[in-house]
Amino acid sequence: MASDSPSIRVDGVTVAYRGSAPAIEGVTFALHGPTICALLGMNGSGKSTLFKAVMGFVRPQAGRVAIDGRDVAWAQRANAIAYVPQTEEVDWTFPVSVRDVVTMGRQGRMGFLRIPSATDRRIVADSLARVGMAGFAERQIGELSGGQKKRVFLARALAQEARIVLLDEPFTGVDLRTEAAITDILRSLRDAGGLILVSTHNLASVPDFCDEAILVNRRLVAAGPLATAFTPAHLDRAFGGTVRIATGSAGPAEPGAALPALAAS
Amino acid sequence: MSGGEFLDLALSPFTYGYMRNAIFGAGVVGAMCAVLSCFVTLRGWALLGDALSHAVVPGVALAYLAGLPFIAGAFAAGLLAVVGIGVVERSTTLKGDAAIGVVFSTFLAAGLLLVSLYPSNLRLTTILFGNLLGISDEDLVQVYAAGGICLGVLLLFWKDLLLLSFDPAHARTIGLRVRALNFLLLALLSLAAVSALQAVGAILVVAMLVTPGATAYLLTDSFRRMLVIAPVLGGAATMLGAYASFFLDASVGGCIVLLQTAVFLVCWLFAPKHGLLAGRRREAAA
Amino acid sequence: MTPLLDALIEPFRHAFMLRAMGVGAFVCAVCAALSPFVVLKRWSLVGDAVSHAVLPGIIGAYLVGLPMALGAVATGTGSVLAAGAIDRRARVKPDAALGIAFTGFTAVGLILLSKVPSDIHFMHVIFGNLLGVETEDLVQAVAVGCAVLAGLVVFGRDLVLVCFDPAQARIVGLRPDRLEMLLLLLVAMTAVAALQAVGVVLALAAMIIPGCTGLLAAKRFGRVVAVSVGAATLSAVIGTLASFWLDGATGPCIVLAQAALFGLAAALRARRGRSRPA
Repeated sequence: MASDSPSIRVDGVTVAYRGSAPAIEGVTFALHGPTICALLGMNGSGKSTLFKAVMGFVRPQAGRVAIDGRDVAWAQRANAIAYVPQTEEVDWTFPVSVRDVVTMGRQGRMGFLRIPSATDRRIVADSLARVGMAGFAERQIGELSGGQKKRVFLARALAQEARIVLLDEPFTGVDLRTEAAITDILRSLRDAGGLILVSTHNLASVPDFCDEAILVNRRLVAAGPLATAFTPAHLDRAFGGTVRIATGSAGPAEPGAALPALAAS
Repeated sequence: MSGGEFLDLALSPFTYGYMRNAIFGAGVVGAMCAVLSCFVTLRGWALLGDALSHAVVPGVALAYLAGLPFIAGAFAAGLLAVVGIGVVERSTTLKGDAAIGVVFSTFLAAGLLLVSLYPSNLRLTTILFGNLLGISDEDLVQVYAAGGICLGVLLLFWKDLLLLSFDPAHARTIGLRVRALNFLLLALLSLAAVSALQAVGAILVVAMLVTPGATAYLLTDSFRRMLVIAPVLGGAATMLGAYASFFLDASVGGCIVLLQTAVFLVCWLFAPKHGLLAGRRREAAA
Repeated sequence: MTPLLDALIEPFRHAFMLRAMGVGAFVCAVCAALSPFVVLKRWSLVGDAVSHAVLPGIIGAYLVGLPMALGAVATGTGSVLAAGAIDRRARVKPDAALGIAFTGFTAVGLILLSKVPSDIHFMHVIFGNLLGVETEDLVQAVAVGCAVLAGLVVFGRDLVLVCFDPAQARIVGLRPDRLEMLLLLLVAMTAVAALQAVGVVLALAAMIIPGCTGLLAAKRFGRVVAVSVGAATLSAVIGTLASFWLDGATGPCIVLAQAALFGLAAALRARRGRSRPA
């Protein structure tokens, strides 16, 4: 693997919150760009804890995380990872416009007074255009539909120009058109050499746009290319036998094939 | 100093009628607030307690001006503030804490303006810092009445209120009248706030409504026991604070609240299960 | 007509009134510039805690001969840091931890107050004393206020990001924990400035109400701050005048003027909402 390709290496990582059993235990995997990888697991399986560990928001009790071969503090300083949060976590009444939010993707790279340069402004405009939201730049963020909100936060990640992008449930509550638009952009990011990690409940869409999958159920169940990781046996172990889908091949799902969108709880 | 002299000195506060009034009045107020503080701490209502204790001020001022019992005025102002907070929350996008902050500081400003307009009837320092040593017999009767009502109502409803605090959704499904019970708890808080106003003043009432409950929660995992431990500790700390202020010749409200804080700190350090030292021992053993 | 006009002009003939209005407007504007951050961070209780906990610091600094602002900022931020320690290490909810910590500090302040001879100066600290503000206090308030404004100019954008999305702040290399400390420091400094106008008891009002008015009236952060500062400045002038005419306390009059403007903004917004359903 070329040394300049983006990478995430998680090595025997255990994270426990004070006074409770470990949220993830001994998880090990490695990802190298270009790739789109799905992170799959039930609620409470440790997906979001794993995200937090990769972003350096929690300190593992054991093991280590390396981003591009360096530690997570470096990754934060270098703006190496972009993150698209779940829309439920955002305060939509906050007095910021769509443009303000996307500009926040540039904030780590701005000067002392955080005044956007001409380059920053151009990148923000380009990112908005790329997600099809150029006409909404001056709207307050609460005045958007569910799909539009997702696009704005994806635009923020684009504006950050990070080679690694983490997306937390980007497809919940969006229409098919937005889902297609998001997957198109993720593909183009990958084709430009990016490393995309997407947590999702929607198993049906995984074969459609992902190259790899990581399945967790507190411990790692499987990690690797779809053909070896995204198998019924592994899904069974990750979801405790609540899923019955025929994923004989890693090929794209047939249009209209009624694969149940999983609402594991 | 001989033993007899020491005893004389120790009992000397009790030879003054105003000190007896202050100490026993403080005990009742402390115990009443402490019982309610169990609910306040578990529900995360500290800001609301702070808010109510300030919001009753214009009611007290108006009641004094109109010659009515101050409890009636305080009660009305407290409930009006709760309604006001609800209106602001429903009609704007502001979050709960901002709505509470806006409404209670407005009420407090109105109260302080009233007091400054009619300075002879009511002293500002009485409202803000309390005036336990100068408490009139009439006011003392009102404090005892408030304490009696409060404890009586809690004896009748504490199980419902506990369920409501723990799991409001469940309380609703089993047919409890959630709105009425919440209202009841807020009404009791207003009563307690105005009584505590006499003892420690508007600025420090919130300590009486938070600290004893938090202290008791460090000492036990059972809510039933909290309801006993909190008033015992709270009442004792309040009486002792009033007693100590006699010798220190210092602000009564300050002494009472500082003692409440000290009791909390001691329990935090030494509590058998949830204390700092116990935690350290567990870590060392592990 | 002439008597009425005279009555209106009367306050402007007094130098102390002009000075009071000027100081009040500046101090309230500083509070209002910070106010949207306090509201959006949901720090109402923190603001209340800090503004009360400055009391022991002010009296302590006076007793040992240090500048009062220094002691005030020390105990003001100290109370919140103590609450943080209680919250992290004891089984106590954050709001209760704040309540315990700041009342403990304030109680020490009141005891000190009752032990200091000639407490007239400190009564001004508690209730504000705009009409009789002394030059030394004025200089301190203006200096502290300017420092707060400078802090907001430099760090305002980072503070907005931390209030809105701390995760994003962290991921682009900002330090949310340090920025929160900075915001706490700014709140304490603002409380010190606010003491001159409205006193300890109403400092929270000056730090909360204008921001809420701004948030009701505008949807962009810059405009929220502009409305907040505008409303607070106007309220300071109206409130000072009202206190002159009514012969009542100045601080409460200013706060009530702020509350009236808040009510106006809420009413206008409710009306706009009805006529143009979303």
